[in-house]
Amino acid sequence: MKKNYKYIAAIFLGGLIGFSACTDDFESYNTNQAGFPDKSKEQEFNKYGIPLGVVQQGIYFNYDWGGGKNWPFQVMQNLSADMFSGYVHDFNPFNEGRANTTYNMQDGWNGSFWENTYGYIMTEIQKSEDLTEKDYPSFYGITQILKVELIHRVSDLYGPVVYTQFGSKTGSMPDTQAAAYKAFFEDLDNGIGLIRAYMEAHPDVENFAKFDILMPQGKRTYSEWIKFANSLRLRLAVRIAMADPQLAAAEAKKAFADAGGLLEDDNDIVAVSTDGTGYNNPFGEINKGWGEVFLNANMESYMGGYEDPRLPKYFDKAAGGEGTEIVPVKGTYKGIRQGTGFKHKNYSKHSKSTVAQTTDAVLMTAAEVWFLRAEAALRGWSSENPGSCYENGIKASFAQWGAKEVATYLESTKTPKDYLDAFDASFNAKAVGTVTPAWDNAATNEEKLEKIITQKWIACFPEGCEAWAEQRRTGYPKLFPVLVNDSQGTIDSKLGPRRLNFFVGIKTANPDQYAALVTALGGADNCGTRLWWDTGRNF
Amino acid sequence: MNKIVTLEIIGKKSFHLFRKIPLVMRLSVVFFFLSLGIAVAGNTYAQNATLSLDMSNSTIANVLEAVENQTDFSFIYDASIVNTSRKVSVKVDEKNIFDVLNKLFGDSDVAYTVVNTKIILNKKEAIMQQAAKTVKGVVTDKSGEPIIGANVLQKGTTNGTITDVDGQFTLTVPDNSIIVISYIGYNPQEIKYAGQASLKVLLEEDSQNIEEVVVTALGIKKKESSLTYSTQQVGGDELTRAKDPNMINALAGKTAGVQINKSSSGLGGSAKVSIRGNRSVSGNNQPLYVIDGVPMLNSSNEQAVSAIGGTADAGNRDGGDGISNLNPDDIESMSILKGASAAALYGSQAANGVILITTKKGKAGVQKVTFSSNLTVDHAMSLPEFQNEYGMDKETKTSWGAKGNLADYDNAGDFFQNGVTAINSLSLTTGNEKMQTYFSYANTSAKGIVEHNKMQKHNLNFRETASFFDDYLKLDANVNLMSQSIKNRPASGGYYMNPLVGLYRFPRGENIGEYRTNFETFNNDRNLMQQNWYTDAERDMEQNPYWITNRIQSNDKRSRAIASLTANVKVTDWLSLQARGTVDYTHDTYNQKMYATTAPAIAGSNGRYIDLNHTETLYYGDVMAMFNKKWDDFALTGAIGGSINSTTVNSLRLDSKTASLYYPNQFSVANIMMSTASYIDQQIDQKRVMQSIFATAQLGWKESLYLDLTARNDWSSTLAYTKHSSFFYPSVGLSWIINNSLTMPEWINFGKLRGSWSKVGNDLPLFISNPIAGSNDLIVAGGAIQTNSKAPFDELKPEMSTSWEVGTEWKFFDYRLDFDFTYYKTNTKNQLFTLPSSAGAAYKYYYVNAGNIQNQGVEISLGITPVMTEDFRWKTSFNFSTNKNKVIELHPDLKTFVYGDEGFSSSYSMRLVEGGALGDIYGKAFERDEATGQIVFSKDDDGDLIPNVVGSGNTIKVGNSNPDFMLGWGNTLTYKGFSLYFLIDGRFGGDVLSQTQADMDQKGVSVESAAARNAGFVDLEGTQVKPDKFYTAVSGRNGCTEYYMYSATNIRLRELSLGYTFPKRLLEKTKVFQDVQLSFVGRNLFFFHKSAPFDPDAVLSTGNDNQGIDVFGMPTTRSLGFNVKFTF
Repeated sequence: MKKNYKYIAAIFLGGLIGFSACTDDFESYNTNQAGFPDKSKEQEFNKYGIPLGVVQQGIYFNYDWGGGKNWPFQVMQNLSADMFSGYVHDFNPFNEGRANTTYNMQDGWNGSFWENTYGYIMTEIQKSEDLTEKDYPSFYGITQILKVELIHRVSDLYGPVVYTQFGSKTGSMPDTQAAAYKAFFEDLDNGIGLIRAYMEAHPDVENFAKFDILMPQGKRTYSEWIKFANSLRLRLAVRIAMADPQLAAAEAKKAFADAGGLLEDDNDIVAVSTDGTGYNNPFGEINKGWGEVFLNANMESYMGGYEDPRLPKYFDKAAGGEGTEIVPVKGTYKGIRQGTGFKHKNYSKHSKSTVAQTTDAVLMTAAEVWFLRAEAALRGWSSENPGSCYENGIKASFAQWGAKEVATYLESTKTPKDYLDAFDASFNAKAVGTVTPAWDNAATNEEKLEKIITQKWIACFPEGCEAWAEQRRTGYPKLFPVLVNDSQGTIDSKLGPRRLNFFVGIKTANPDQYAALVTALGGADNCGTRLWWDTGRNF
Repeated sequence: MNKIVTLEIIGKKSFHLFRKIPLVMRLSVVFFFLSLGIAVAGNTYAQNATLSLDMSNSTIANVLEAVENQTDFSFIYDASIVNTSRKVSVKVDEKNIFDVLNKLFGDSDVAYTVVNTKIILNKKEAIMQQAAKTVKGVVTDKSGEPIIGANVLQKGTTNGTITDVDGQFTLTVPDNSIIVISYIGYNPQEIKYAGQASLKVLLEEDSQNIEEVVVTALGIKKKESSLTYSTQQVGGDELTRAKDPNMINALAGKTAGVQINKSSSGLGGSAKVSIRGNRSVSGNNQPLYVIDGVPMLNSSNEQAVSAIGGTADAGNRDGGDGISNLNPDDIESMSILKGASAAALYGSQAANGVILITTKKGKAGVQKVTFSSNLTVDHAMSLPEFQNEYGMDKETKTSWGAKGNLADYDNAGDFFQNGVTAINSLSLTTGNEKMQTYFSYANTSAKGIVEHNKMQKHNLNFRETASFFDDYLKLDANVNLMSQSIKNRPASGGYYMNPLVGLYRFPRGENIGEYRTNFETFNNDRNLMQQNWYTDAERDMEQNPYWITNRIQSNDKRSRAIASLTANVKVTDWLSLQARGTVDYTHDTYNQKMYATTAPAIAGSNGRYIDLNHTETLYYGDVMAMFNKKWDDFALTGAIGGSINSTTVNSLRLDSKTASLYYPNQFSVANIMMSTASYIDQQIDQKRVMQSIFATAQLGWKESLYLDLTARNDWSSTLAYTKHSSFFYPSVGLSWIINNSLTMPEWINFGKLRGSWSKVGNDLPLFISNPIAGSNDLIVAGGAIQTNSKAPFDELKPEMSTSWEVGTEWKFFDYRLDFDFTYYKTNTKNQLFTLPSSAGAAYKYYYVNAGNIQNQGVEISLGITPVMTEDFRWKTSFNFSTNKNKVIELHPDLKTFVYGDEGFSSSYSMRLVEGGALGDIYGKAFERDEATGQIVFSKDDDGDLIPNVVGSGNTIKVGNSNPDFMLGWGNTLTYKGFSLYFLIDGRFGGDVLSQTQADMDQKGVSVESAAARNAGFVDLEGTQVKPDKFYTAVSGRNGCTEYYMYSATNIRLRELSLGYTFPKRLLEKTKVFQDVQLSFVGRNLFFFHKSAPFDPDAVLSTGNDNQGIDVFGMPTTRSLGFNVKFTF
């Protein structure tokens, strides 16, 4: 009998050890079956295209990392740059009317541009660089151009950025805005060089086309990317015209000199395509879907005063009928003034934007480039005629929006109009802008610049990041001041905010980086501190 | 076969347990078993049951066997006294047992006694040796309760009987003999018989004999007195006295160190159970539930994820938990293993303690049918208070309008209806010595406090226990089936799809009735019904509450099957082998229909449809060798074994989100426009496998010193790709039963010191260690790519808790006072932190194992029986627990860890800093002068003082959600058949944030905002601030957190029941009922004290984050009702 127990015990323990030892499948268990491994992405070269796809959706941010879409864009851009630029305003009195609109700066919103760009998009740039640097130099070149486009928008909002030292485990040290701009130009050189070399070696291969959602349909070519890179260089050069005049002039000249040329045809429009790409225009979604994007009083004043034929293309007429109107709004283009601290919701029947979910999200237009050329000419960086460039810009913009009677407009001496609030006369404002659409060769450079920037501002709509950056740099177009300033003294009511403060989470998550950022900023980390290129002078 | 323990068998088989035990003991064991079944038939069975025999020249033994085969009777006798080899011939037809027994033994020297179905055979002369008298007696315990089945024996003889259901016995004994009355668990009593006509015997409980056996980890049974750690036993009646649809809620306040919070999602909601405090930042903090030794699933397919909106902005949803599925009537008892030492045998699942559930099974000789019916009415309580003086402002549509005589509409009160919960359950149990059956069915049918919210639950349980080959093999099979359906479960809080937002914000003085009747109006352009509400603003946050209840419909279904089988083979009398297996299969389906014109930011213009299909399967198997041996003063018990635990999740959630539907208000998957604006979440065969070997041993010395050792090694699939494939979890404990080794004064009945040390783990998330490039990238709805934003972590280690505890237990004054004290300290290291990297990092997040989070605390429980007379008894018990959590260390990279909602547009975030504690709430606060601590004010353009609010981004600590200590006070008073139970419990300390209040102040609907307007100012620490300016600066979802923090201290009458048990005598006459109990029950009756404007114990989520915050949570309910229980 006793022997039997031993056998049983032996079998039993043997069994135990036996079944406990088979951990061979653990690796497959711990692999997500719903994942999309790079091995599978090798097919159709998706491995190289997907990161760049994410980046292209992440500039005018509508990339879903799992936290949803559209709302990130709203807090990243629409409730700050798009509003501060004077383009649009929300009808909804968030926080009873005391939020960004009255300079009660919402950290959660204002840090999100930084947070989302670095958290989700710049990481893909890094991935793309690692994947393509050796084997796919043309893709690497495109990555460089995208990187500049992505981060200059961040820098223009906050100032210092993490750029040259990108790629670590926990976070890297920042560059000053001046250093970042230098690096932008170098990366553009590098990107253009690589693409050009590839084109020369493979003149008929357009292997990025299938991943390209930025260049216009029919122009998804390497040469169009070079045009974009040159135009971007011109944009950045103009931006630093007063901060570093030598570099600005040199870079602008380089942009003109490059054989690839600039975006100048009416359809040379760099925009995130919504056509079959899965990308929805987030501005369109929060406008059409949520009903939260309305004409800003500034835009009403300028475009309304000019009777600009593009106004009906940009905005719908107000329906009116809410609240007690002291100015009838039905059938007019009626906007909302920023910074009044209103608490009601009656603006909900004012003029809404026409931009829809399916509208391509414009990043750069031929019109903008013409206005850049106008300013470059004005500054003597080229031999072009500032007036013709200016007029070409307006024409290109009219063409872009399908607006008619550009000739009349070019002669127009109409001026911006006063703003009348529909419900509260104390919100009324005299027009602050005085320039007319018609070019005047006899005008001062300052006045010419005001015309150029004002028209560029209209043409850039609805890309608030670029418009707000240029408005801060030049002071044009002149915008209505806020009536309520809740900034606790950090923002001047007349000057408006000069930047956004850094993401508040950095203070605790990475205090060293935060300290370095503030040092690189060279001023207090609030929304009143001027950026490097924001010199307060235009000439 | 229907034998209990026939001594004939004992005589033949050499391995039998009872071989060497004296007859008295043998009989008392027999009678112990009998006592379990005694309530069955009384002697009515003997009178009524008939049998037919036709046997010639058979041995007595054969005849007895034939009788046993035909009937439920079994014979008990000592084969050395009763000659069963005598041959007899019997022929009876449809006669009762007495006729048969008379025929067999009428003229022999054998006497028989029939007690229920047991027939005791004995020698006549043993009884008849002297002139005997018949004595009647009654045996009771100290409380006057009859002791059923007590052994009554004439000393030195085999003449004896046992007491009946009323504790009564009749025995014929000679004068001057000694009668011994004994019963398991009581001191035997000897009475000298001097011809009394009746005897009244009172037996006293005896500790030495109460070898109360408790179930410990892995289902291993140990003597309670030997345990080296603190456990708490909870009887099934604690769960059924005043039932809650989620039975675990019934434990609230009853056990020291166990905090139970109910989710604020109403019917079928989950419970957050935390034992000895939370210790894991990002891991699981809920205990492991184990049924009859095998783990059970307690996962939830969804929990509230934010203070705003839930998964894909569909509104916060509580998917229910696993423990709520069980039928409390099936629970025999629960054993709560609070400390890590107790649970160490469960290794990496044990960090949060284990709740061991022992379910009912059939018992030999017991046939019982129990029906219980429970009906409770739930009424919403702790509703916010509304002002009724200031009406709607036409412009802002808030209640900041003019003062006036407002119509008094109780819009909020009218919204809530009385909820009704009816739980009916039926259980049948029957069994003999070889096979026992337990079957139960329970039906829960409930109506919530919000219209259209309904719940229906069916539980079916079948358990069969059987023994084979003379008890060498025992099988125990259990099948548990559950089906549950919940319609229109309200959001557990937050802004999206939550009717309470619109309800509470609705302007004062206005009648919501219009929007109740016409929650939708006809849209001519679209030819469909559209939502109708007084405002268009913030449509995502605020919708018509009646639109939400009528046009946002959900249906939540769960089907669950738990099947388990245990086989136990006895190899020798000291060794047995056991194998167990279980399958726990849970299938959830959920669909939600949101009609067209639901808030456009969170639903498409043609409506929104969500369809979730979620299955989770747990396979568990273990084998164990268990041994139990004694040498002189030493006793060794132990087990060695291995287990495998595998869970697989398959889940598919299809959600049109804002992508809308092709055709309005048609809710099917095919109608979803699957684009990048929609939402798909799929989990394909997500598998988590753990293989383990373990061993445990307990060495006892002279029943006074016990040494406990456990060891376990886990191989977990979540550690694949890391350097550490397995982890070892040891524990050691020592206990000293003082009264067994030292002579103690009479009044000390029991004393024990215990201490233990252990290391246990906490499970890990899936896939995070996987380094395969892109393997955690996902393709999401519309073909969009969601790339992995977290750096792979090949250094991954499981969280490790090292803990030790010391404790002492005492029982005094004949067990009328007991006292238990435990001090524990737990340090949890290797916590898994997901750290946000800063700009410049290659991934947005990276993982680290770091930190040292310490919990230390004290648990005290005290039980007293101050009054104990024959008719009246008062038992009272206190439990006290305190847990102090401290973050000793985080990570060098990590000065602050933010978890939960990071508080964007919100005034709330949870943060950890070194020196802080879990549950710390951060937000905005008033700026204070550093020197004086006074609030700093600044003047606005009008020259009015406005308090400065700082901490934008929620960076200032404003409180901690955990209580300082908790107290429970339970009382049982019994008087004859009446029984009164009440439980008062309180949590003291801790803070909660009410964003509801902040929002209501902002909208001007709160009573506080009216008081301020009446006064013309708000007094803020001595400074008067104009009401409108004050609330503009302070109120709202993203207002000043500090101002909306409240003390969480509350004391409530948690449970009350008044019951009446009908006297047995009365019931006997009915011949139907064995037991009838009626009771009035109430749960959550009222607060003795509460500072917060809501029930601070209700939680938004059972997860780690979003604690201590109320965002329009469903109000807590008071339940009153009746219980009826019949036993047949």
